[in-house]
Amino acid sequence: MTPRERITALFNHQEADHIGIMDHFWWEPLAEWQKTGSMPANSDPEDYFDLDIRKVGMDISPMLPRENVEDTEEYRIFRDEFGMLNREWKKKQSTPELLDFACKSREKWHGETKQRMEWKDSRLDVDGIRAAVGRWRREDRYITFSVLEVFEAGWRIVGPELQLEVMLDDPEWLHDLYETITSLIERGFETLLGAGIELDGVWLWGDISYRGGCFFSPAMYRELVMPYHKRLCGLAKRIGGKTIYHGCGDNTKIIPLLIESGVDCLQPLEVKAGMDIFQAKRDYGEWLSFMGNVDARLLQANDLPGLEKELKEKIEFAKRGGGYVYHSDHSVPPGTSYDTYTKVLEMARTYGRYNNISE
Amino acid sequence: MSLEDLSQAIIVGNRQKAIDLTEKALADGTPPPEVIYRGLVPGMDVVGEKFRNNEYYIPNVLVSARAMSASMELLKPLLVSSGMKYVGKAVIGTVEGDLHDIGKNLVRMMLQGGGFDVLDLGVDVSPDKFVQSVKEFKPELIAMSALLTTTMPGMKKVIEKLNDEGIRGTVKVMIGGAPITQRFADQIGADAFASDASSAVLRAKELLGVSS
Repeated sequence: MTPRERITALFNHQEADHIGIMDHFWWEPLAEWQKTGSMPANSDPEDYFDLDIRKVGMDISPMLPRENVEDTEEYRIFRDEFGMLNREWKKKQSTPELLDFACKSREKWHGETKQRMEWKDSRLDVDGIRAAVGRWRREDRYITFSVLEVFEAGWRIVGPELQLEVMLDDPEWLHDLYETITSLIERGFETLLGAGIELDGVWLWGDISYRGGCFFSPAMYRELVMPYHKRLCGLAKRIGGKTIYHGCGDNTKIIPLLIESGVDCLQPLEVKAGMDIFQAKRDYGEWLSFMGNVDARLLQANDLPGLEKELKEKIEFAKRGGGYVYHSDHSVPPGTSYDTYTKVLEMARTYGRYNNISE
Repeated sequence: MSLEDLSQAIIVGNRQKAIDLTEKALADGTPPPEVIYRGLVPGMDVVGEKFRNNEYYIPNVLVSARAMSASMELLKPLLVSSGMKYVGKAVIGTVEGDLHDIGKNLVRMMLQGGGFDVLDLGVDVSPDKFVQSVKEFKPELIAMSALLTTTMPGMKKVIEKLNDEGIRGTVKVMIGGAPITQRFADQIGADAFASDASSAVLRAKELLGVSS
């Protein structure tokens, strides 16, 4: 089967030749593997490891000028296109420290930021995407339109704490923010379709949960977020495709609402946050596919016996009736050896094989 | 007006009302410690309880903490002369190599709302800096946060450094953060693990033998 045939079958809850294979990587392990010659320099890990899914995206930021503010031996401080002031290490992996944000009031939003969210052709590299999609089509990859959903894009503009406060203080502003982001994404998607670019699904990225569950109440999700998630999931439905939803943290209690919004596949099911593929598949496997739940801490520890147990038990359960794609439970972390990782992929393909369907 | 009204303003996260009621209480001659212990702390106690019972979520906690902080800003300059006695002193920080601070900030605000005097060391805090703060600030509690599996070993280094300096016995150590578990806390010899900001206050009070 080709990657597209495989992922399509699995997302339709049918068995394939084997489970899907996908992953994401922190930059450190890739740099290490390339430095030591384990994989070619500047190689794309999705190509090199023959991963099934590809992503195309667009710029949904306020398109503020990127600027370096401070550069030291250890770290750099820079302002990104969302206007977010970040401090990040130069030589080691970490999530950045968020120092400041572009829009800290309703007045700033209406006075300046919202205007910056207008459509511009430069938000979408149509020619570049057409070229990439053409190549991936020849390999018959499963190609997704990959964008931040409204909560994730929203905090990058106004800051995570203010966004959460605004959910209670000023829901009207939040609706305007989310409407603006959603309309922009819809415009980008339509532009790609209008350009004759064929896509298979949508991949939404948004961490609405932490290890304690969803940041906000189910009622707030339904009132403030779900209308926009429904529209974004609706994009995939328009092309007969599926929506993958990336959400870190413990999404267990909010899964029914994600299904109601139209999410078809949940990723990455963080083990350390308490996500459990056994429970999720038992409770929601009829409606939802899953991607992930392979504990990245085992990768980091290069614990091959632990990984074999993890992969065997989880894959043999999760692959039943389709609906499962291998993925680490977030990203392949620093410290993971190349040998460990290639063995993991080999085990995933072996334990993920369906015996009655030939490759 | 009563300090119960102030508690209520904290519970619903009404910042302006919290400011107004704090100013009124002070103008009426209410001692600042009484405003804190009969107004702010009971309010934040209810917020914590509602959070643990899933009646409140992070947005509710944030707006309540914001209201409490606004009230505290008015009270702070008056506390030294008022002979304010906190339930305890705590130092908080995100461990070395880790730049994440949202969870840590939430814990800081909840500890302050629980009546703790909190020194926030910020992010990327080295073991040396934690130890120095123990020597200078003399807290009863260190609260450490880590978001990443790669930075959580930094917590162990802090405990080792406290041992090396012979001051481990003077301070309780509480840890938390996305990858942290009770098992990890036991492994590195921490005194407590807290899974969220609300339970951090309860654990802190338990460690210090303070009744809630």
